[in-house]
Order: sequence, then C-alpha cells, then structure tokens
Amino acid sequence: MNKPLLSSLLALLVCPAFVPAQSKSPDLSGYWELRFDSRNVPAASLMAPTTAGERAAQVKHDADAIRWCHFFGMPYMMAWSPLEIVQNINGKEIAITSPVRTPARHIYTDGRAHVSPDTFDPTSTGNSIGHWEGDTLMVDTIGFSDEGILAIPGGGWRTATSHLMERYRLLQGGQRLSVVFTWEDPKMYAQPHIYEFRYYRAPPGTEAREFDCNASDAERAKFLTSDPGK
Amino acid sequence: MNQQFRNTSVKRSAGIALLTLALGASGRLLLAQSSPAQVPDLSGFWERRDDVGGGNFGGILEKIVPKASLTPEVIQANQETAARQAQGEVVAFGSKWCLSNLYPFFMQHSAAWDLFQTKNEIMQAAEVHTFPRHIYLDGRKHPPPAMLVRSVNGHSIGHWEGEALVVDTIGFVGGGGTPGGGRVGVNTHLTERFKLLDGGKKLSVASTWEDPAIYMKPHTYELQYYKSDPGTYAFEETCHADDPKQSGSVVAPGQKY
Repeated sequence: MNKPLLSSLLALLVCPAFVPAQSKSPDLSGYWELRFDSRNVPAASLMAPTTAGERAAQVKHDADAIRWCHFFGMPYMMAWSPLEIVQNINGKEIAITSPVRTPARHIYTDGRAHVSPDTFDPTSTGNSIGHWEGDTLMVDTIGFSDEGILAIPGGGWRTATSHLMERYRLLQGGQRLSVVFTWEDPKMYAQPHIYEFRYYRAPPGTEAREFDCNASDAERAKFLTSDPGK
Repeated sequence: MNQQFRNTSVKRSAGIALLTLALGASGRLLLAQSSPAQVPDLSGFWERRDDVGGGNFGGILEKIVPKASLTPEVIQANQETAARQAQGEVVAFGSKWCLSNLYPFFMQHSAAWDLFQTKNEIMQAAEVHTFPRHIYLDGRKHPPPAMLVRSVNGHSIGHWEGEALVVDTIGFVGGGGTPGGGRVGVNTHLTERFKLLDGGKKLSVASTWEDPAIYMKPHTYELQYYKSDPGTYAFEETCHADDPKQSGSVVAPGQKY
C-alpha cells in the first residue's frame, strides 16, 4: 500500500468532518412533560420586602399579558407540557418550544458570546448561549424585556437586570430531564434563587400542542377581568 | 518466500487491515450519525431577498407567484373584502387583535425564520406572531379526522426523497391566505418540497395547495430563501392588542371588554 493511500485512510479515521457534531454530547431532543412531582421550588430570598403596591402591579402586569395574549416568555413557558427540545444535528443551536403563546427559545451553542446590549433588543425569552460541560448543557441568558408573564417560581419576577443560568442533564437513562434554574438579579434577589424541574420523557408519538389565545373573545375577556363567579 | 514479496505482502496485509479498520470505524461513525448525517442539513436562519426587482416583499411575490385559480365563491369573498377595505377597514381583524399568524404567513414575511433539524423532526421558529411549526419525520401518519387537532400551522409529516424533504400538511384552522391570492381552509391540503441550492447557500421551497372548495386547480409556486449570515440571532416581534396604535382601524371595536 502506498504512503499517500495510508495517509488518506489515517486522515479518514481522525477527520473532524466524519465526527458527528452531537456524538460527544447527550441528545436532549424530544418532548418532555412536567408532572405533579416535577417541581422542587424553595421560597426565594428577596432583596427587600416588596410593597403591596409593587406586588399588585406585578400581578396586574401578568394578568394583562394573559388577557391581551402577549408573548408569555421566560420562565413561564418552561412550566407547560409538552415542552419540546430540538437539538440541531449540526450542534450549533438548540430550541425549546412550549404550547403556550411564546416564541421558541433559541440557545446558541456555536461558541458565540451574548449579543452586545448596545444592539440587542430585549425579549421575553432573552438572549441565550450554551455550552456542554461533560454531559450537562449549561445555558446562560440575559437581555430580558418586560414583555409577558414576569413571575418567577418561588417568588420575585424577572427584570432587565435578571441573569438566568440553567443546567440541563439527562437522568435515568434519558427518561428524565433535570433542569436547575439559577436566577441572579441585584434588584430582586438577596442571593441566587435556585430551583429544579425534573421533566418526564413523553411517550413516542407525542405531538406539539398549540394553546392559542384570542384577545377578541369577549366571553374570555369577561371571565378574566370580572370577579370570580360573576 | 521471496523477501521482497514478503515485505510487500506484509505491507499489503497491514494496508488491508488499516482499510478494514478505517471503513469499520467510519461505518460506525456514520451509523452513530444515523440518518440525519446522510440527508442535507437544512438548519439555520433563512431569509427572503429581493432578487427580482420587486421593490418590497409584496412586490416580489407579485412577480414570482402566479395568481391562484379560485372558485367563484372565493372570488366573491375576496371582492367583499376589497370593498370593506375601500370603505376604510384598513387594519385586518387578525392584525387588530394580534391573532396568531396563520401558515404560510411567516414563509412570505420579510423576517428570517430559523429551521431546526433532528432525525425525527424539523421545527421552524418564526419571529412573527405565531407558534413554531413542527414537521414530524419519524414515520407517523396524520391523525384520523376524529383525532385531528387543528392548528395555525396544521399537522405536518415529512420524508426525504433523495435530497428533497417532502412535507405533507393538513389540519389547518382555516382563514389564512397564500401568496398569489389563495386561501387556506379547514380542508386544504399542502405539499411542499424543501431543497438546498447553490451548495447550501439557498433553500427552495415549492408549495402546492389543493382544496376543491377554494382552487379550480392546484396552486403551485416556489419561493427561495437565502442562508442568513453566521451569527444571526432571532428577534421577537411582539403584538399588543391593547395598544391603540396596534388597533388603529377606523372600524370601531365591537367589544365591551
């Protein structure tokens, strides 16, 4: 066998083009469900006691988002089922979709940094970048707007200065998915607010849902804005 | 054995062993990649551009999409809509109330959309006010009519025919429109072919809409998209029905709440 051929075969063995982009990382793709025992959410340690007026304003803000069908955004969208994770075959991006009225999350895993705040228009889902540390997907999100439902499980709400870190890791042979959320916000939390959701893998054949929202529905509007039972 | 022949033979055996190893190894890698590695990678942001001199995105469509051949009932409905617009209904009901954009609206919009691809599914995420579109590639069929849940993007299943992704969609909620003046009804059937062009720099999507209640013959057209620059990121197009500017129609809202 001549040397060029041998060299070519050896190159074939190590050529990155033949290495699947996802071969080194777990595949989180699929549909995931939250069940009654999926949440471990302690009470948040808030920076300062919020006033009744602030709490009422935040509750009204979130109620208006539902009444008027705004984009709900993070972290509300993560609390619905089925959640879908779509992990691109080229390893450069991961999406998360939710059945509620919200844009998909785009998690860029191509090595880019966060978009400069000078040019980024804040969104309800923020700007997310991710990387793998072993079998754990680390996601870092900033750039939140005040669009949508702001409440954070355990207390507090997201603001323009919120910083969310998430760790995604498969458990039990890929049948469960642990997502550990850590919120930091100098305006909101005295210490990082950490909670965990453990999703169940949905059965094969599960399909996406669309919980659509119709702001023009008068009966719906009346229900949402009237005293209960009226 | 001749020493020269023996050396040659040893080298040949080593070469065959290496060849076997290489093929075996690459075979495992290919198997590990499963089918997605053997089909084109359509993933990424795609955007429309004006390369026909249309002047704007609506103008582009008028230049490249043939007029749909519509049934008399649909023609009459379109004329009634045009009359309402002539009388001042300048904001469509769906726009006024921020209703979800119905497929194929985002495919003809100026905003880029992001395509995600796995072995079992393709998902399209648009910036406009709509839900993600899910195209199942795992061999499932459309649900039977009694089980079909209608949605703004319909129920889509796809398969690969060579380098083309063929997508079949039913189950629309109805009420949307297509380029070329067509409409989308609850019984409309859409067939699409996604195919990369120019070494992956462009994506062709050929669409065929069929519905005897709407079209006199299948309505077929092709739109082409350019791969967005690396580093492209998603925007979020919000819509607030409670914002007076959003509902700036001269037609008063007929709602109490």
